[in-house]
Amino acid sequence: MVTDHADDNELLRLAGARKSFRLPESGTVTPLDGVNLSIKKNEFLTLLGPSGCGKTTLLRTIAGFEDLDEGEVYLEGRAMSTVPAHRRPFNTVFQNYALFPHMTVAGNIRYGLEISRVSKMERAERVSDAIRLVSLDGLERRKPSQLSGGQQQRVALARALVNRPRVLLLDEPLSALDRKLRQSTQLELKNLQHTVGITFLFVTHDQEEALTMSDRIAVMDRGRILQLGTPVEIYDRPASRFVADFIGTSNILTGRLAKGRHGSVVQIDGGPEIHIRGQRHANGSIVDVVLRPEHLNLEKIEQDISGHLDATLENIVFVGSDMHLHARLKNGTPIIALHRHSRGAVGIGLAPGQTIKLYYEASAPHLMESDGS
Amino acid sequence: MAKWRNASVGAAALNVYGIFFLVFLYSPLVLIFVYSFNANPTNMAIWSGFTFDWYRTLFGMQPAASAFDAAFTESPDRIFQVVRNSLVVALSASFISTVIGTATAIATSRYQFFGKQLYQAVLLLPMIMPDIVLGIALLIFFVGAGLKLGLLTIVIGHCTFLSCYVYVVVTARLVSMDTTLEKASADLGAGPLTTFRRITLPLIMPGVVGGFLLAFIISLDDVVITYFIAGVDTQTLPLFILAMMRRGIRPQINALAVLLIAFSFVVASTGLYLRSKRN
Amino acid sequence: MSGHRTIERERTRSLALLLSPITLLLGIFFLIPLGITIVYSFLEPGMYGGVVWSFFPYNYGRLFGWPIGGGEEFEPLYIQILFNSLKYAVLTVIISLVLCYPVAFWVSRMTGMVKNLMLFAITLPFFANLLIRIYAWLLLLRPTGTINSALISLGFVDKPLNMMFTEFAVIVGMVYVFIPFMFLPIYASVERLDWSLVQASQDLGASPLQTFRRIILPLTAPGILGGSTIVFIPALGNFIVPSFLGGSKVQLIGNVIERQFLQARNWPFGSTLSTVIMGSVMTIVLLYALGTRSSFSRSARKGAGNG
Repeated sequence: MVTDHADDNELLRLAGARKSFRLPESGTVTPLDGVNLSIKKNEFLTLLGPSGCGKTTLLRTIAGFEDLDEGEVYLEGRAMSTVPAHRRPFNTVFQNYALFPHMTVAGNIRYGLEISRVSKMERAERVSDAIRLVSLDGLERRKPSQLSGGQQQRVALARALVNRPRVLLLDEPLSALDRKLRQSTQLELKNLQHTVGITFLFVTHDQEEALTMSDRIAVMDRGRILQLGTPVEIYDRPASRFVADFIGTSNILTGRLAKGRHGSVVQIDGGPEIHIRGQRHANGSIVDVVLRPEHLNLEKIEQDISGHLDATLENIVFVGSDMHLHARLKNGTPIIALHRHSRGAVGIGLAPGQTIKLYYEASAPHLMESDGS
Repeated sequence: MAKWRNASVGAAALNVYGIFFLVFLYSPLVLIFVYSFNANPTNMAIWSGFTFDWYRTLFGMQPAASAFDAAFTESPDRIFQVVRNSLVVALSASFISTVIGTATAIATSRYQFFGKQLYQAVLLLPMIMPDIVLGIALLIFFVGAGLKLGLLTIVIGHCTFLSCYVYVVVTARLVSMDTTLEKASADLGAGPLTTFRRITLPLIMPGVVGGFLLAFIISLDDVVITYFIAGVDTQTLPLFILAMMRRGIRPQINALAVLLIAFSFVVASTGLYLRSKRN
Repeated sequence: MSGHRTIERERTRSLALLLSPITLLLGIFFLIPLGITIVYSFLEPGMYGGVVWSFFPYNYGRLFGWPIGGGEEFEPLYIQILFNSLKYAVLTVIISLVLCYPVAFWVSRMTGMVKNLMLFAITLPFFANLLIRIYAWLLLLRPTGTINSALISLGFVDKPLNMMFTEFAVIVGMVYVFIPFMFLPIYASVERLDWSLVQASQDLGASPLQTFRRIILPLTAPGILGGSTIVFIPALGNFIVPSFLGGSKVQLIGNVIERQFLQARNWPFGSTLSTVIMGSVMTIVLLYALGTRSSFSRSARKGAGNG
């Protein structure tokens, strides 16, 4: 394990982080099972995964609230595990905001500066800057109980950012907000990160949120990072079935790859042949084919290599901007296709029970090595 | 029970019963209050006029009516000393117990450790054990250890069970407090002591004060345990009253009783009020 | 890597610091004295007070009535006193339970300020000194006391009723002293009662008595058990109430212990009686813990599924 940071752009690194503990009734739990992660300066990195995957434990390990059994956290090359939480240059925005109820908004924001004994003048200036940054002007004297959920969240943000941490840790801070507020806050947070220029480490189980806000996403499951990449990379080229399933909707078909001179074909068990462009996987290997619903069209595409799937339509679900077509292949595998809505279901002249052809471009299917599920 | 078919009759019956219950609860005390102003020196049950005399004799502001009375009426100096003893003991014991009890509460509510359940059960034992068992156990211990029985032994004895009362009261507050606040404080740079001072303590303060007041009253009122470990030379107010009662019923006891009740009620009301605040 | 488990080690240090005061306090001034009491119960009483450090099983023997040496008859006196004390404690529990139970419902049905005031009013007498509360009953019950004076002046009786120094007086005194202890746990249980369950029971056709027996009573059982326990235990060891209201007519185990320590100077025998009380208390507590644990662990296991 190399302990020096690999490049100047790296800010934080986790090396071989491992943590497990024994619960009286559930046996051994391993929230971190060998995690290696390199976090850059001035980036918005999201830890994404289902509950129990270890993302919150990872965040808390960095913050200093959890011990590691093995491995280390490095800040610009300096090991952090001997440094207690209150001395680490990170700040956290907690899921329930954790605003001090017996202090005002200004008191809450001031707290960190008082602890580090910043001078009174500088304190006042930084506090008012922070309040302006999150648009809380006029609410300085209020107590947390007198604020709305959105306002409380902004106080939590200001309270953390006013200390100019090296990394801002955010533990599912938007989960308590209603949908519309969530979406507007997501954009605000992204812009805030650009403005402030600090690395944001964000934890969420909402993949849409992760795709919207992040520069990079680390998808986690059962204590391991399954894939690290930009939102586009994760979406277009998932590395495993889990990632493909977790991000967006996927149709995953398993079959054997047969490479040919003009293109390759994956033979799905008891099902159709999928035509694809050149792939690096070995001839004859078992692969998982990922076809996103938006890749499947009702109209034929005029490309040199393309293919289609024969399926029986079972359900049409109207969701406003799109229609989800739930169908089934001849071998019984369910398929979901997306159709841009211009007219109602009557407009496309389809009804459940009909057989349809779903067309796709040869570049659309994404191949992954099958993990046997 | 016609209670549900004829709800109003049942509700009325319950109200009547409730009133009687309150009357039952308070009339003995009200009686003492009334008697303390009764001028009749021999038969309290027969009213013969209003007077403050009994209160005055307590404070030595009125000469005794007879030689018997003179022998009986304790000097105000004695009363003052006895009250002082009680206050000294109560204040010291409740202060020490509040500190110890709060520390214990923090330990059990914020930490996990092996054998915690058993430990917590043992912490409740001093409150469960009958006073007489504790009293004689401490008596044997102090005498065996060669300690002279007096104010110090009383304070020690009281601390033993008062700490548990404070522990229970403060634990309730600590448990209902949001622990992420303490994490947030650490996250913002505050060490454990600073976090306790600026975040935890202010938020549990009603519980701490309530525990202190509770300990104070219990110490002030304690009869049985103090009875065994006070020794011959030392007397607290309850022991003084005990001695008075053993000598016979005198009107002065009524006056003293009323004063004591009034004081207890004031302290208790403050404590209960504080505990209900911000609950 | 030396950094591992630093957080854990720091916490262990703080924990030890926080728990040492109470551990020392209770270890030295609670557990050890109780232990010494048990030891003393097996020692021989000295001629002029004090103890002889030799194993002496006859304290327990005397308790059960066996004579010490020749010339003494089998005298189950102390067993009788023990059972008598148990009887009084049980009576106190039952009577205070019956008295408090309806009041709990009465208060529970109230709302707002009145309810808080009522709770305050019921709890307040608890803070008046024990001696004074007993003293009040002295004034009420004695021949020249309030009740007798009222009865005579109203012409109901010719001469005063003998209420002092009777079993009746002791029971009344005990109940009066312990009602606040019984009230609070029962009230807590009644407050937590989900009235929609009562309505559901009626909806399903149960009569009021059936609803009471099968719904209300079981659901308030924890409060009843809790209140009974915290009344029974101190009632068992009480000697102040029988001392003032019972005189020499009512001798409970607390009185005997007091005499052994302060007059008879037979500390070993007093320790024996105290140990017996200790044993009874521990047994009751164990039973209570076992009784509540089985239902507790069931709900705890259900809750653990959400972790």
